[in-house]
Amino acid sequence: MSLNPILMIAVPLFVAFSIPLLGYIHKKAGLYAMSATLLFNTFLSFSTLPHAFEKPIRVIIAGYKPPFGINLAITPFSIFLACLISLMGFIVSIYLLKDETTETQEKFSMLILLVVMGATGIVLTGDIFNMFVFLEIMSISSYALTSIRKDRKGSEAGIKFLLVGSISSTFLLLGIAIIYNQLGTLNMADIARRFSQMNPKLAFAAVSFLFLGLGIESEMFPLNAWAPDVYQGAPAPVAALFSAVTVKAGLYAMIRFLYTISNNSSFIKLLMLFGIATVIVSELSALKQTDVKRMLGYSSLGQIGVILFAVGIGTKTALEGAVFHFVNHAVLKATMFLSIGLLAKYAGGSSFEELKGIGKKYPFLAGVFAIGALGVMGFPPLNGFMSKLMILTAAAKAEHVVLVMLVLAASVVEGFYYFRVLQVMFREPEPTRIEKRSVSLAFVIPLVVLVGMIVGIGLFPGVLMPYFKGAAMDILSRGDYISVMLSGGGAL
Amino acid sequence: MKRVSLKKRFRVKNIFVFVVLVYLGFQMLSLGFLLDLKDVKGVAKYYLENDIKDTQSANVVTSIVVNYRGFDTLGEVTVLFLAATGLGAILSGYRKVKKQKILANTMLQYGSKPLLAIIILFGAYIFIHGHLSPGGGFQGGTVIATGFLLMLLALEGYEIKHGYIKWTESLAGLTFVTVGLFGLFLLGSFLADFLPLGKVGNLFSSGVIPIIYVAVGFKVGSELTGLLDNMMGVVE
Repeated sequence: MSLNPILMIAVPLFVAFSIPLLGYIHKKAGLYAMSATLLFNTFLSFSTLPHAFEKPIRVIIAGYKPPFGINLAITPFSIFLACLISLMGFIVSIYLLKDETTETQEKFSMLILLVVMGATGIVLTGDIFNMFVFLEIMSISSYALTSIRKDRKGSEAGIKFLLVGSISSTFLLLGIAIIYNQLGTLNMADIARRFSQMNPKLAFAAVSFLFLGLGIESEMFPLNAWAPDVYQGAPAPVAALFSAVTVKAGLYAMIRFLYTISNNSSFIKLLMLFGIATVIVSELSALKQTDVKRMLGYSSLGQIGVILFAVGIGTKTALEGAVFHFVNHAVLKATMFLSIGLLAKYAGGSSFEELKGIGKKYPFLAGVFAIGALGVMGFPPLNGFMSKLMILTAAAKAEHVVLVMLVLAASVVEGFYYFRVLQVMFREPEPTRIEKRSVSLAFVIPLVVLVGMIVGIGLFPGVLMPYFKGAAMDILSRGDYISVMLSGGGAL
Repeated sequence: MKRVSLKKRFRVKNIFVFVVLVYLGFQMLSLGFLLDLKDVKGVAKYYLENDIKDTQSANVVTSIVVNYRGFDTLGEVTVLFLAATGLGAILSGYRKVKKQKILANTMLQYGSKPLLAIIILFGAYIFIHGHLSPGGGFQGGTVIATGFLLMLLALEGYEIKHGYIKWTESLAGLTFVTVGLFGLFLLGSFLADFLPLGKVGNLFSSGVIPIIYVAVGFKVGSELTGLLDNMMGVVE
């Protein structure tokens, strides 16, 4: 008998509520408690993983069977993402132990913990309104984290994020309200079972509202103008967390809604077009940036576009590639944001001008950044290559040749601007104004682990392959989800 | 010449946006007529029929909020907690002075103090009787916060000790989660009602609902008070 997966949400909440009191024991107790809780979450999610892959698990809350109560729906795809989210959260939290982004350490650690908890809740829950609540938890803590440094850029990004996020929540709530009005239920499996009973006009409205709301959360092209500001303005570890954790949860919600709940093939096709638009626009915008952090933000959007494109194709291999790209994007972008955060701190800023020749002063950090950049570009031994290859092969098989060519063209653009950064970092003469400081072990360990993951996943993708296959199967097998969640899931 | 054409273009754009908005508004309105606003169905029907049997709470809204969908309420409490924390984190570090341009008159200054006690009593009544009468933790907590708002407005330089707020909100939140965890360990389901349900209409009935609602009341009250206090005053 293993532990109940609900603890992945209950324990972080318990710790988050007690962090203000832990401050009386020791100034940094909150930070350590946060890190320990994320370690616990990682452990619990990995120990639940094999059970959920055997048979999806249904966890009942408050003792009421669905659809009357809320339940967690732990399917292969959701538990796989929960593992990714808690692992990335834990890695970033190690980095935060020594980080001095803000003086309000307690509140900072509380917000970080709740961002990860919110994302975990989104991927685990089986109730659409509950998912909305977790989205709120995740986004509200994100707003605060974005502007926690109280500088100009952060505050501007925070207020933009707040406004766009509120619009997103309104759309989501409207869509959910329409569905509830028509079907009288909020359970996702129950909605999925009876979705065709809705008035077609109202169903279309509900799907478009949720598509818009989740499009904002998953940073889809016409709705993602806020994202580069946030990636630039937020502290680097927070930006790493955003690209590794919160976007993933938004994408999960989008996929779960379009594939499992509404099963609306025209909106899935639409996702493909929006994905392509996201790739092209973001990569071209990244080209003319002069700030590396902002450029990374655009590049992150480009990767999200690739994932959306793969999800839109909708074949089994494409979805496997998409899930693979989930992992790769999280690992690569976390690596790059964390390393560029440190470099920017030592260089005094993250613009090209300030980072000139930094690679000669800090070869380790710049080297880590370079490995991340090569991974994003898709250099063969590193992890970015395999997932992109899978997605493009799947797209070519589905006869979207023009779109494949567009993605490849965007990759060339990507290669161009990343090489420009690397050239600035390594080829320029060594700067004299920056003095060399030692890098704390708490910064080195997460970076080494992440680089190990980049190389390891790149060399042995076969180890993770069964999980990608399981997750892709889970996305496509809608009927199984409905029957398991309404009639009782597998045992722990 | 150029300027005029630019202006014109703006006007055309504005008209276009207006037309689109009106069109969308009508579409929304027509959707509204399609909605089914008459019969109670689905889970709502189940809640209305089984509320007394399942929870022994006279207030069906309370049993939905705290029992059937208690997990959502835990989330909502967290949202409020986050809003207070986030605002605190962003506003911390500013030196604030609480000054009033025109002092409140003596009547208000003296009258507000006894009034505070009455308001707190009323708020407490609302959340303690959440399972019996309209209202509950959120409403009661808000009433309590308005009492402190009155004090902040009436008395110049009124200070609320942040330590108290911190302790109250943390302990209340911990109570909620702990009750949930007790349900998990005793009955195998998070937030399950592990106390005897009692008889509908009694103060001590409906199992864990009053405990959770009292905790929510304390939490909401202290958080809203903290929020108001954070935003009070002038930045120097």
